[in-house]
Amino acid sequence: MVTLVLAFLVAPVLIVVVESFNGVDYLAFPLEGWSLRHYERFLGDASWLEATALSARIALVASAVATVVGTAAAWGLARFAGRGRSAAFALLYSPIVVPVIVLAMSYYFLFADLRLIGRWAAIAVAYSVMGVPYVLVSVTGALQRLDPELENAARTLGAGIARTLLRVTLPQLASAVLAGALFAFVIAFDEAVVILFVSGGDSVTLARKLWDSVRYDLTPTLAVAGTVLICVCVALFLLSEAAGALLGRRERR
Amino acid sequence: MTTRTPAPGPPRGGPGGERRRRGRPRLRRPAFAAVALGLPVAVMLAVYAWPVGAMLVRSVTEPEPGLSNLVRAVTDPTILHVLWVTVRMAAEVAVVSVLLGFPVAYFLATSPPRRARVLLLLVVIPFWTSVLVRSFAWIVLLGDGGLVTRLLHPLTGDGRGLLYGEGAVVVALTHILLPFPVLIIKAALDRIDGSLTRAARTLGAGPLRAFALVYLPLAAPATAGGGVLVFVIGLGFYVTPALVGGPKESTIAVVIARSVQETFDWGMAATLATLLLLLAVGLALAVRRLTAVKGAVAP
Amino acid sequence: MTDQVAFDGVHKWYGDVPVVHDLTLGVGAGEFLTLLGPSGSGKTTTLRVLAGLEAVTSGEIRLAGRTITDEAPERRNIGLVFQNYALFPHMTVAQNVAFPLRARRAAGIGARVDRALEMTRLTALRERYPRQLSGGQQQRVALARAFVFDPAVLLMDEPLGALDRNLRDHMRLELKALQRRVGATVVYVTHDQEEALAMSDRVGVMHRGVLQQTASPEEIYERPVNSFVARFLGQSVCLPATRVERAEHTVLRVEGVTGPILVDRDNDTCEDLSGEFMIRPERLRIAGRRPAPSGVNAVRCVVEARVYLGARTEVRLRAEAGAPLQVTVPTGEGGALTEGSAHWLSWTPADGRFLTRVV
Repeated sequence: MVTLVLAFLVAPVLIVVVESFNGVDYLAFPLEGWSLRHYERFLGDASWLEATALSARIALVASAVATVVGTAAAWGLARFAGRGRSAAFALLYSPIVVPVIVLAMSYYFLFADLRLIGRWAAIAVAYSVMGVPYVLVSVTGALQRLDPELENAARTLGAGIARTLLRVTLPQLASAVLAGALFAFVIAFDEAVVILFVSGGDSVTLARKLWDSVRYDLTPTLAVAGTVLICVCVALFLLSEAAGALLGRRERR
Repeated sequence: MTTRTPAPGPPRGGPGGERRRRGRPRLRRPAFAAVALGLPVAVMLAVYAWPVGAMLVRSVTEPEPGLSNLVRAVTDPTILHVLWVTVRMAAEVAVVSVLLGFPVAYFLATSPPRRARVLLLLVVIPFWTSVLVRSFAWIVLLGDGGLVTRLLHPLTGDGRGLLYGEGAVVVALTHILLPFPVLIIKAALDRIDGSLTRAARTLGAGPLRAFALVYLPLAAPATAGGGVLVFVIGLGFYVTPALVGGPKESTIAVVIARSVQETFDWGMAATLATLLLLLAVGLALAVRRLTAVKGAVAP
Repeated sequence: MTDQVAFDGVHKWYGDVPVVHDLTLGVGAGEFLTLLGPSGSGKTTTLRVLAGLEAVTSGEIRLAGRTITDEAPERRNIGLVFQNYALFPHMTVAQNVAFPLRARRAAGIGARVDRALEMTRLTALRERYPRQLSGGQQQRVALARAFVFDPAVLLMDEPLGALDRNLRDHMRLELKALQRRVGATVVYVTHDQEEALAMSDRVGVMHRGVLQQTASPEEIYERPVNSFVARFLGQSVCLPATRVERAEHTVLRVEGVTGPILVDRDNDTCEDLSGEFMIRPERLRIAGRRPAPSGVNAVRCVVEARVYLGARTEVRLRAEAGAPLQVTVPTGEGGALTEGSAHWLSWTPADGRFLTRVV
């Protein structure tokens, strides 16, 4: 039973990878012959490569913004005891609860008003909002495990608040911050709903191009694009696991 | 006792006016925490609360101020049907996900750590894979001549795929959302003290009774939480219903997208989005309440 | 002589709860002062207020002649050894000890770290991480880190609390020796009376946010100012009593004891007519017959129970009129003190005290 469910989870992902090596020009499974022709087509097509590069650029910026905002917010929430704390938490955490279609519409209306449709930087900012809760949750978890006396100790030993955060707090949070950052990156890298509303014709990300391709031509080339997405995301996941284990060991020492 | 002493016990009633000096400059740390929290909050207000708020306002101001959109939404049979289909499919996905997810979570939680880590990858890798790609995979599998279609051929008797039907949407959505309950339930099960069931067994409960009386109640809040989460996400899902569902399987999200991009009925789109948002937030709060009340094992 | 550390009318409230009440206290340079009290007595809060980790509600704090009441903790020049040590887990022993010097951009960091590690016998462990150290070693790192920058005062918050008993006794000596060598001014917080008596130049007993008495260990044990201090330090027999007369001696009527009890006039520090009569069990003499000389207090009582404590045996008795009393005898000497046997307890007026009641 468990095996079947696990197979159910993994098989479709594998099938996309396998399909990308298809030997014919239409989708067929099981495969009718193997080839790398769709990879050649993908790599030879500037529009696919540009879409991939754009996705990476947007995801990088979105992840960076989300990481800074989320980490600062997590620390602030952990150390701030005044009024409005729970309201602040609700604001910062709620993007995880709001249906993506609602966000997509909201940004569509906003960007339309401000003439930002198709601007990659605006899209990145919208994506960073979606990443903030994940960074927040990840870093908050680490902060809860952190001994608050460490910061007090640093202060009494003569370190100002900046030095304390930089030399004592952040190193303890590194793996959590990294995990949050990678997750925010992945969310932005393969986001497929908001982009349908705000890409205009100018900002065709990998996900946007995949969507169009699934909708209109269904060629095996998109299995290659899908494989690229899978590989990037899985690689980042493995990276975060490895880095987490490494940093975690250092922190736990 | 009426002792007055040079070194009194507790300061009864509190010392007088000098007890609180006003306007004392506070240590800088609380102020710094306020800034650390305030800046992100300001950013989120500007780039998140504002657009969402503006969208919500639009639901009661476009095309004209008032509740006309809401009235139209709850009286239009097409939209009511869409709401019904959306809720029904989300519920089906939630139930199936929990039924499939619990055994997997239990298996992972009770496996030796090393094996559990490897098996966990099989759950997490799909979780990290693009929704679009996974929906695409189901198009391949469920389409005419697809693998699943062919495997099912002896049962169905025809070569027509499940694609563009409710079954396809439920299967694909279940696949996409299944990792959520698995991960949430596993996290809860990991926190259940194994000695509790052992204790129950030493107290005379059989393995099944120990499981039913000790393990299940402790896992119940997280299980319910996982189910509700799948339901909430399913309600608002766009990509999968749009790609693997047919016109009959239009969900709220699909109708919203169509209203925005094709019919330009922005007021109605905003109204439906508002309903969806209220539902999602309401259920999310309910889950919090549920898990908070039952205590120990929150998702 | 000006004090190295001075609290002047310091109050600390958490909301409406007073935690430290009207604290005025001076600590001399090079002095080892211990704040002793039960948990919740305000001693740790006092330390944290001094270190700048909590803001005072009112009052003033001075350090080496400088007012530091509102100064940020990093500008106070105070070394604090935390109860859980709070070592930085991602830094080695040497990096932990160098941290305060780096923060100050001090000169000659290497040499000063070496010297501090040497003094705490940590040189061999300098490249280890805190996780790889035993409790006692971690304790020494925390100590080295707190004094390496020559702070104006060294604060310690139950630094030995997490160690097991043998190690604690050992570290107690080591700490004291180190303090002498460094010549540091120390404010030490503990709830362990033995620790306080063994290490301190002066002990301040705190209770419910109020500093009850500050004095040398001998003074505080022999002449407690009130019944709380008497009970908290060492064993004591405390009985409710009323003053009948105050002449050459104070004459008391003690609850549960027949006849008047005499107390030296100097030993009567009670501010009211009623208070508590107190005597240390080791001052009680036990005999089979009523002792001869008059002017000696004597009470007839019956042995209720014996508690074997190894080298000593504690004997609990009850006076004929009902007062609970106890004596401690070396094990093996109290053979006659069988349960139910009757004896006379006696003491001189110089041994008993009449104290203000504080509970």
